[in-house]
Order: sequence, then C-alpha cells, then structure tokens
Amino acid sequence: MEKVILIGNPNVGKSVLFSQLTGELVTIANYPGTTVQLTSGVCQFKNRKLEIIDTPGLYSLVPFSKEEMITKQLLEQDNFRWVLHVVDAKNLARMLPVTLQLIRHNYPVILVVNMLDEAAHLGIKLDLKQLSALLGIPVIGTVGTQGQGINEIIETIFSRPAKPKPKQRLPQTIDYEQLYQLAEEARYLSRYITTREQPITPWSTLDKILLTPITGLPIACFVLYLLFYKLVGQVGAGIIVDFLDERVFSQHLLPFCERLVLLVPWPAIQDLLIGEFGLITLAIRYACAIILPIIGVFFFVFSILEDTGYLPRLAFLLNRSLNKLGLSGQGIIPLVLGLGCGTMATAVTRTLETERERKIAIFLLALTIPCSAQLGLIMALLSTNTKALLIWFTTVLVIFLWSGTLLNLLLPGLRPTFSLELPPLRIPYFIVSLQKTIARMSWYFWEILPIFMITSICIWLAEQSGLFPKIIMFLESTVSILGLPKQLALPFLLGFLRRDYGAAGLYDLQELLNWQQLTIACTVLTLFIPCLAQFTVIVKETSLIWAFTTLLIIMAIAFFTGLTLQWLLV
Amino acid sequence: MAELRLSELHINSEAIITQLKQHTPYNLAKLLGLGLVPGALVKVHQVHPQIIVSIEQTLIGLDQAMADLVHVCQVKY
Repeated sequence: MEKVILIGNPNVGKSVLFSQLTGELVTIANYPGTTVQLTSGVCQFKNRKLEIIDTPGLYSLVPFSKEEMITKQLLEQDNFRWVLHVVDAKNLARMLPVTLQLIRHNYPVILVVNMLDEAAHLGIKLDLKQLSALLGIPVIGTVGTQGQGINEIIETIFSRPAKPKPKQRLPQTIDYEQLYQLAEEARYLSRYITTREQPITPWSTLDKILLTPITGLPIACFVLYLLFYKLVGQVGAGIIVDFLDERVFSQHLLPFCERLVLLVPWPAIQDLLIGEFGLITLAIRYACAIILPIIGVFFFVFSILEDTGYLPRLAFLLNRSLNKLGLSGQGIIPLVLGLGCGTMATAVTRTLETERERKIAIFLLALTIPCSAQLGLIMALLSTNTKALLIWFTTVLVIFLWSGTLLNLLLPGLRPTFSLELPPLRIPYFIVSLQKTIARMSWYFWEILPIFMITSICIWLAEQSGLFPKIIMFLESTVSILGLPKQLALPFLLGFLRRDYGAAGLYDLQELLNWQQLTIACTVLTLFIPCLAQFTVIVKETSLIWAFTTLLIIMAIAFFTGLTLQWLLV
Repeated sequence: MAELRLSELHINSEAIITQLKQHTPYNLAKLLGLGLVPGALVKVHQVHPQIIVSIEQTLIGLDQAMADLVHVCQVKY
C-alpha cells in the first residue's frame, strides 16, 4: 500500500487531519508534543487505499529530540508517495522554511494550510493559489476540526501522482546561513500572499490573568483541586464507583453470573470464574466497576484541560518551581498525565528536551505520582478523615520535592531551558473531548483487562498448586512490620502487577483498618513500585540497569516511609 | 541603534531580532522553529517570572536563559 506522511510543527492540527483522513481517532491536544510516536491509518477513496502516517511535531529538518528523530528517519525512507506538510494559517512565515527545505531536497510535498477559520477570525486572508504558483506545489486550505478541505486533499493525493525525483539527503547538521535565508524567503512569501484587515494581538486579558503568578497560581491550584479532587475523586471514585460496584455488580451482575457458573460441574473452574480471586469476581469487576469509571472521568477532565490550551500556560507558570527539581515547565505535562496513567505519562517524557530531565520525570512518576484509579480510590478512602488525607498528601509531596531536589543535585547533564508556544485559548468542543476520552478509555481498558485476567489465572494456578499461601505468608510478614493487618498482603501482591489493582484491593478491605493503618497503607501503596506496564516503558525509555536501580530505590523509600509513619502515628 | 538582549526589554516594547548568540544547536533550532529569527518583529507582553513575547499571531513563553540568546534592536515609534 502506498504511503503518505503528515509532518509539521507541533500544534498545527496534524492529528485532527489524520483523524479526518482515516476516520481513526488519535489523542489530539491543544498543547505541543501530543504525538510521541508514529500513528498509522488507512484512507479509502473509490476502492483505492492509502496508508497515512501521523508523526510527532518537528521544528526543523535537523532533529534534536527523540521524537523529531522518528520523523526524520521516516522521511529518509523511500517508500512514500507524498509528504503532507501541515502549517498553521495564522503563522505561515514561521512554518514555511520547512516547506522550502523539503522542496529544495526534491520531496513530493503538498502544503496543507490548516486553521483557516482562526486566521479569518483574526482578519488574515491568504491567497493560496498565488502561494501554490510561487512554490510550484499543490497548496490546500483546510479547517481540520470541521472537515473542510479534506476531500480536496484526498483528491489531490490520488489524482496527481507525485513525480519521483532523486531525493537529496536531509541535512545532518544545522546550516545557520541557509536557515536564515529560508526564514527571510518565508517571510517574503508570507507577506506577498497575505492581506490583513487590522492587526490583532494574540495577548488577551485572560492570558494576563492566567500567566501572572499572583493570579495564575491560585487559579491553577483551584483548577487542579476542582478537577482532580472533586471530579475524579468524589464523582468518579465516589458516586460512579459506588453505583457500579455496589448496585450493578454486587446486586445484579455477580449473583446472575454465580447462578450461571454453578451449572458448570467442575469446582476448580467455578473457582477460576467466581472464586475469591476469580476472573469475574476480581478481574472483570475491578476493571469495569472500579478502575474504568475513575480513569474515564480523569481522561475527560484531562481532554478538557488540553483542548482549552491551559496546559502550556500551566507549564509556563510552574517553570521556575520545577527548575528546582531539575525539570522545565514542560515537565508538568507528563506529571499531570501521570495522575491518569503512569505508563502513558512515562512514554510522554520523550517530549522533554534532555536525557537528564527525562530520567528525573520518569523517577518522580514511578515514585510519587499515583495513577487516577489509585488517586481516586485513595481520595475515597481518606476523604472521611481530613487528618489522614493531609498526612498522606504532605508525605507524598515532601518525598516528591525531596527526591526531585536530590536528583537535580546529583544527576550530571545539562539543565533544562524553557521556550514554549502558548496556543490560543479555545473553548473545547464537547464532542471532540468525549471522543478522545472514549478512545483513551478503550486503549486503557484493553491494556488492563488482559493483565487483570492473567493475574487472576496466576493466583488461581498458585492456589491450585499450593504456592499462593507461601507467597502470601512472605508478604504477610512484610506488611506486619508496617503494623498493617495480614489481609493487606493481597493488595500489595496485586500492586506489583498493577498499581490500581492494588488500590482496588485495598478499597475492598477498608473496614479492617483504623485511620492510622489506612494512612500508612495508602502512602506505601502510592510510593510503592511502578506497575508492570510502567516498568516495561521505563526499561524502554531508559535502560534495564537504570530501571532496576529505580525499582530498588523506590521499594526502599516506600518501605522506610511506611516505617517512619508507623513510628510517628502509632 | 543599540543592540539589546530580548530579556532586557520592558513590557509593551517592540523590537526586531538582529541575531541569536551563544546558543547550542538544539536551542537554536527551537528558537528558529518558534519564529524567533533575525528580522522578525517581536512584542513583549510579560517579563516576570518569565518572558512572554508575540510574533505574528503566536505567543511564546521563554525563560531568562533562552531570552538572553536573542539579540534585538528596539523599535521606537
């Protein structure tokens, strides 16, 4: 199948166009660096098929970050028909240098000028026919969010076969003189084809309020409190989980499944399905009734935050504070995303500039950032006792600040710098946010369900073989040292496989614990090792040695924090 | 006209970028990609805690270290 590659600066709407062209939904956001890997989909037109590849954003054809390298490597392959260079109609001069570079290197380019609606709103009119004539390539105007111009792109791709020319190798090093010349040429072209009704500044009063620390920081605290504590914690983990777990599952679905399963004549199979750790009673119930509603609310909240353009503003606001932990403001994006899913957030650290910054963010995510299911359940468990909630929050915050500061002092390497585009503030489209939430929930569900099911099967096999009681006995002695009831050995065992699975196990046992034990258990489970999926991504993003070192340090910190809390509270 | 660093400009001042100095290749690529190229007209909107400038219709946030790399000539009307 022939291929078409979508490239362009971050935040120009490549992923929206990809969705429109292929009908597949990728996670689109109003902040730079959403696509951290290649996404491919099929575009169909009159019985003909074409593979479309969405790429991470790039600022120039000389790659400097891991994600830009991915795009560069793809461009150096020979097996594609067209390169669709997507640019923002409001900022043509800034983006045309890459188009000019591609043309100079004989690439078959179609220039897609996206966000024409936003440009029109600002009084900017572009003569795209003139631009096409000047550049000698097809130029198509689009409004990705409304699907405008999509058919024209498809028709151009199929009706105008790219004339293959011997492509020249892309530059390996930066040629300053050439870049300056390209920028000058791009500015000239942009001015030549643009008419402006009246100049409008992109700086608004709302920007001023959000980006000035004295007003911006209280707003940031309020937004995060409202969204994560109130919505994820109280609505997601409280109201929705209560309804699904206690009403739907416990009163209706589980009794119904039990009646069906009891028709099976083999007790071992009955146990596998509806036993204490059975596939239905544990794996499916935890995934559907406890984890999914919480992660669903989180993803919806995160999508809204992304689409408004607030996240880059938060990054700007927190840059100086995060510098003390060795991170730049951009580090806030994986950290906030980590409050949803640590695995996804660890992969997103790829957008951070330096190796050092990536390692610090990965460590902080693994140690101190609870995933949304875990966070929601902890909020639900501790919300009745303000003292316990405060102790948990303060302990995790102190360890977050302490470990970040220490890593900043100890790790060698370049300190991060900060330069970030602040996209326009937009009112999010409810449907788009909802679609993104559903896509992310679906990705998450299919990732956790097999792990939950395998865990249930492993526990069942271990029970059948007599191994399970021995593992539990070993863990019981560990939890006893922390002054916790022996029954907590199971949530800790589940926590090795999935953090949220462990928290869900703790949720089931809450009545056995007094407030001190609940505080210790929640703190240790928060700091406790990253789940299996997150650990795999840590290995992928760093190295096996680094990942195992991180794991050992995290286990030690979690255990000693638990001991300290026991000493202080009990 | 005297050359200044972008970080030395006051709020609401406008300037033309003259050159980018003492940069690493990565920083240079980022600045150029954001449109901070010689000849571009920038307007300063905020200087504390970090700098916010606009070029055309793009708002850009920079820390002190990055803004120090950008040398400008102030425009006075």
